[in-house]
Amino acid sequence: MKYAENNRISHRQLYRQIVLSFAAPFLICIPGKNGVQGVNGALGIGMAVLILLVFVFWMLRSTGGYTDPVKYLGKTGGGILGLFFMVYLIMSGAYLLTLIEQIVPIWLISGISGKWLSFLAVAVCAYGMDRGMQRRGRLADVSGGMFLLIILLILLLCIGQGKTEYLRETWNEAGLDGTYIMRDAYGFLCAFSGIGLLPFAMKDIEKKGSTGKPIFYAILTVGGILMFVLFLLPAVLGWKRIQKEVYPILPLLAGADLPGNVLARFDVLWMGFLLYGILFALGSLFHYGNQILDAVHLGSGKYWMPLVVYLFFAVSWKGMRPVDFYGRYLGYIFVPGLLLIQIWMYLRGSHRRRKKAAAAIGLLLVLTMSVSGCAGIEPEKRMYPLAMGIDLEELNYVLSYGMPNLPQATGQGKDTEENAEVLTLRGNSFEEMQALYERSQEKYLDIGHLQILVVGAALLDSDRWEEFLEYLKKEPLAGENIYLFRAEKAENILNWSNSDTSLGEYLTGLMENRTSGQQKKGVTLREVYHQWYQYGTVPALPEIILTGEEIQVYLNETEKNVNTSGEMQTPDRMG
Amino acid sequence: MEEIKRISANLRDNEKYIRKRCEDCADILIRPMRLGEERKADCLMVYIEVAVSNMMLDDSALGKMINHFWEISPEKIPEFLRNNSLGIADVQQLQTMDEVFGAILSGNAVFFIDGYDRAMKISSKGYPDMGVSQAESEKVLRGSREGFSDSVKTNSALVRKRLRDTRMKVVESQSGVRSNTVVQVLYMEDLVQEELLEQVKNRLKEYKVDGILDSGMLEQLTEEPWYSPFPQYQVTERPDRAAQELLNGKVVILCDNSPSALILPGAFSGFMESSEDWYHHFEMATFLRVLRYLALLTATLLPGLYLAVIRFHTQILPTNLVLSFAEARGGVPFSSVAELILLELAFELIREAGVRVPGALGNAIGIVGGLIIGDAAVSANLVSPIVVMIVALTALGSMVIPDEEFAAAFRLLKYGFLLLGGFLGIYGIVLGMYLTAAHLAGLLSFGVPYLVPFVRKQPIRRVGDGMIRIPFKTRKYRPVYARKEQSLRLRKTRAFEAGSQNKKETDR
Repeated sequence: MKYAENNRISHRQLYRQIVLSFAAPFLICIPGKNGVQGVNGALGIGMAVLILLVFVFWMLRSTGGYTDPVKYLGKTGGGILGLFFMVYLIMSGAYLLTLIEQIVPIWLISGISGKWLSFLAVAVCAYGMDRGMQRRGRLADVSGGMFLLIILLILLLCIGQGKTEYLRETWNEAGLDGTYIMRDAYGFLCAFSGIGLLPFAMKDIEKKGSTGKPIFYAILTVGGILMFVLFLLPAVLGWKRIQKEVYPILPLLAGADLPGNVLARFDVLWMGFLLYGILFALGSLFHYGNQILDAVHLGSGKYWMPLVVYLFFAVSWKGMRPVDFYGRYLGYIFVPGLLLIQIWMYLRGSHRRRKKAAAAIGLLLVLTMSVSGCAGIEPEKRMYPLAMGIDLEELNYVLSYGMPNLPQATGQGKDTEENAEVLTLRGNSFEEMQALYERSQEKYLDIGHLQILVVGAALLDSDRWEEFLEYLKKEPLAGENIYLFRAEKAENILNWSNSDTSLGEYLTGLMENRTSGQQKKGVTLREVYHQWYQYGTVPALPEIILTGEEIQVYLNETEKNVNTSGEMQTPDRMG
Repeated sequence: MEEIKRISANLRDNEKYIRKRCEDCADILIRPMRLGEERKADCLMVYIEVAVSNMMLDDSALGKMINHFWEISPEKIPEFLRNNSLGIADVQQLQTMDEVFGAILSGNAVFFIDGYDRAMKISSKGYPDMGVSQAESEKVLRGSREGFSDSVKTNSALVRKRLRDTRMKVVESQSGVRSNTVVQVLYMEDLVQEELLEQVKNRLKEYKVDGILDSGMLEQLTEEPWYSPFPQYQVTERPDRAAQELLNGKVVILCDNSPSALILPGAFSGFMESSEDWYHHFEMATFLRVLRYLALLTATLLPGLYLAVIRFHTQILPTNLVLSFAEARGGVPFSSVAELILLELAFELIREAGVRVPGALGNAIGIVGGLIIGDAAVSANLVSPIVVMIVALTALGSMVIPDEEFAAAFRLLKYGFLLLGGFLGIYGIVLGMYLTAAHLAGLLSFGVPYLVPFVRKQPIRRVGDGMIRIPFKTRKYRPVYARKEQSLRLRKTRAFEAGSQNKKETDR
């Protein structure tokens, strides 16, 4: 058919493939603990992008030998070349599976083994890996544009969450350091070294003479997004926090609201998009692996390659896994090796072609679904605390959860006299309380809808509040837009009852149901995290005081001193 | 190799052979007769009773011919037939018995005369059919109401009525060893890509099957890959749609006894288009298309997303909403996955029952299913109200998709997403979307990527429009299916150009 007259992919498809393959893994892995950060990181990436552009320009001039390496380098030479790239592909595949294993069970679905989730990813991504470059091009074409648009849109939406003072801190504390710039530049080059696989794809790209353009644009796009994120992350989360978070991009949207309140949180969707990018990258690795094996006349890898990648990911010896050495492998072996091969190819110079193989792969995904077990929990079997109190009583923690009264909250029940429930747990550690909860409560504790957090004065004044924040960090379900309050005794506040509404809704309403000028400036969990990471302290929290049957919130000491003499009559009492 | 039985000059031999082959075929009439002056010429007429019912009427062409044969000498009859002196339309000489039976079984009369080793096929009105009726499955508010019928001849005539141009070719062949079904391939000679035409013809010859009873059988035999649930042919009951696609450079296959024409190559965007898209203004047509795509997402993803959210990611819903869900599900004995699957299957039953029962009862089934079962199931705490709503929205979404077969593919996918969302949450949905996108990206319909124009190498004006319908006046080029040299489809006439030029000069 004339539409596919040359069986090659367009420049647009190539551009989208590169962006789709690299953007999501880079966004997740590059910033954060031990990663590329701040101004130094941005400068390093800028430098790396320039080097990459020069490298690609040079690489495109010596792609001939990759068309048929066996003919070009001989059977042994071709085999070694194929092996060199295959090791890279297998290691990278295993690394991506490790990402899935680390992210999905913690941030998306708990209760299912990460190994099994990674196996499913391998099964899905291996589908059609031998079906030619055009298919990959089309897949990138149809989803790459939307992916890029959504990623950019979400990142732009996040600008509103940023704070200039956080950015200033970053500037003041990070400073400029040539060593870091060089390290980050090399780190980024190592991460982007997958671009070295492109010569194997050159024969499948149309208008060969100008192929450099889409590659340049793709490198600039990915580099630009990352540089933007390196400024965005500290502006939203704070400088010290991104140095301690392994994947700071994931909680980026934990505190963001969508206009119109259609969704309470959309960090889950954000992670969904990032995961799609990871799956595409994994699929690309399988596809290129098969291409390379074909090029070096080693047959097809459509069955064994996914298996080997999975084994590399799953196997461990004395607690060490092959992927633990991925960074060092890239830095010390693959990137220098790639450079040497490129020099060698450039010096030899030749152009050859080869043909592609075609076949199909079946999937057992739905059939094996039952193996994953049933980790989902029905909504009626969950407890939704809207308020949580934490305090210290002698040496024990007191953790109180304020549950809403369901019929009242939803308006579906008949008139009842029931009030909201409060569940109180006492224990020496959070693990102990967790165990106590598991032993005594039938329902699953879903803190995804937590609205307020009341911290007792005893805890705040002791040196154990950090343990509490550590515990909260392990609960990614809790949004970072939760308001925190201080109270003399947190449990008493949680036990406050109001027949109309729950404590969580009441206090959130108190903070938010005002016109913009009168809106109270509460302290959110994100701000607490920031101050904790940045200065090792907790910011001054608004204080809740219980006076008789009324609750009053004072934002600071000054307000408290001015307003203590006032009195109020509620509509009920007036009636 | 089977021996070819030629027609004998001896009428008795021919009659004997025909009677033997037609033993116990009560519907095939073998009528010996004596014609010519003094009734000296022995003749034989063979035909299917209902297909050629009026042959003996005086005012029919056949009747006139037979009347005429009474007046001429027997020696002149063969010559008369050879020259078709009466000018009867579609008289064809047959030489073998296979040809004879082919003609008879196609609904024609065959005439033998003693001493002549040829038979004459005399076309008749053919088998009975329903005639032209309204297109049932592709109703439109604007545009022709005519739909294809069961007769392939009528169907090609309906297309010809719209494209009165000899460049529209109709190539006829027979398919099915026992059914001998007439299959017609329609195309615009100067627009169709030769490679495509060649592929179509080859694929039609690729298999030998005992019978082709509907175009659906033909479709399944010729599509690749066979395991894909997505249709690779577009099916239409509307002659105007078929004509429109012929003008786009596509090929149309008509099959006898089937009121559906097959259009190929099929593409994702084509299945989402309705024929009235081109009769509406572009703003409205675009709005409706966007709505259809949203409906497609709803029909496929909504149940899976619902399960993913309520079982794994409750935090993304506003608190009041999730509390409502929890309250509504209180007392339901099944898990939400089982609950949703049960209700979806119940809906499939209602839908299937609605299709099978006679028209008037179909509405009653809808009321019984929708109101009574839905309401009773909620009251009995078998399902929660929100699930009824999810199933209803999903069903509405699938009904909005214009092509039934295409919608059916997504109806099937829905169950996959439902399980993935129910057991793996958003991760499962992402896995499913990747898999679906990968499958669709690999799908070709006769060499054209299924996802055109969402994936394209040519400019959008050459590929055709997808979600947004371009204004009619800017629709200057045919889509990629047509030959490149014939891509221009709309231009201003020279007279108009000259006129406007004159007007400009006058204005000056």
